[in-house]
Amino acid sequence: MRKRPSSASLFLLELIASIFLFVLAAVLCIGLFAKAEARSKAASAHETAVQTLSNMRSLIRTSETEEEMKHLLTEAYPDLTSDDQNMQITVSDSADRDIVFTLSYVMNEDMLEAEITAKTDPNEEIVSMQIRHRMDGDEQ
Amino acid sequence: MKDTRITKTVRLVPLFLFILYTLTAVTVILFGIRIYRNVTERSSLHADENTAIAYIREKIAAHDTEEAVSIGTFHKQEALILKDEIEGNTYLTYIYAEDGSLKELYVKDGTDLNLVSGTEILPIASMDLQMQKQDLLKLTITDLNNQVEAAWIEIVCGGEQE
Repeated sequence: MRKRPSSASLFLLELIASIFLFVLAAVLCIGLFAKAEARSKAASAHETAVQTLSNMRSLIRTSETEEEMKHLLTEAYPDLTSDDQNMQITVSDSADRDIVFTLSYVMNEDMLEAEITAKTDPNEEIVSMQIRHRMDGDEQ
Repeated sequence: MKDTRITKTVRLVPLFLFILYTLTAVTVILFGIRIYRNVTERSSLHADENTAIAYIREKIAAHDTEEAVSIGTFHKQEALILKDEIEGNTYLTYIYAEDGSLKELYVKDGTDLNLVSGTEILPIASMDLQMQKQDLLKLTITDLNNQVEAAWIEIVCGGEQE
């Protein structure tokens, strides 16, 4: 004759099943929280990058000579480093992550052709911008 | 004797599971609180300065016509002045910081109104305006937590500083 399961075993089984479901939900929640944190960090970096790119764009487009552009950018971002036709600026976002802005440009007579890229530390590109500007003040 | 020990152990299993359940619940709640706090702190850290800068940037872009953008004073308070010509009448928009707020006042030229008449846009401590060049405005906003943010805004048609 088969033995009927006791009420204690049934209670234990029910408890185990509900805890298993709870742990599953908890794991999903932790995953979603981690995703939210990552998205918030990315949004913060993107906001800082767009703000800085807008500033750099204004500084470049109002420059009449290459020297003036370098002067304006250095005045605005004192920790700017430059070599030949490349410049680098590092700005921290509100999550304290460093965003590196690289400005590469070439001068074709009086036409400046520049590209600015914003990257976070592990070289993950956030946003980039291309600028063409005639250095005598006329815009393209 | 042995049966009694097994029964005792079996009775402890639900208690152990309950403790595990409680610990997991507390961990998830604490983790959620930490993430939520980080997200809100991050989004509010430069929110007022960045919003003020974006607002002024858009206002300037909308008024970027010849002699329409200038820096001057409004009742001895430094202000960004934007000019509109509508049906032969001149209307002025004053944007200034006063009493812990960024304010905006839109009036017909010649109307006598004071600083408190402006509409509050958002809370800031101070705003500094400087024409670095005829077509380049440097805007510095300090929020109520003394966080400072600077922006450079191109004025295509040229601005003026009184």
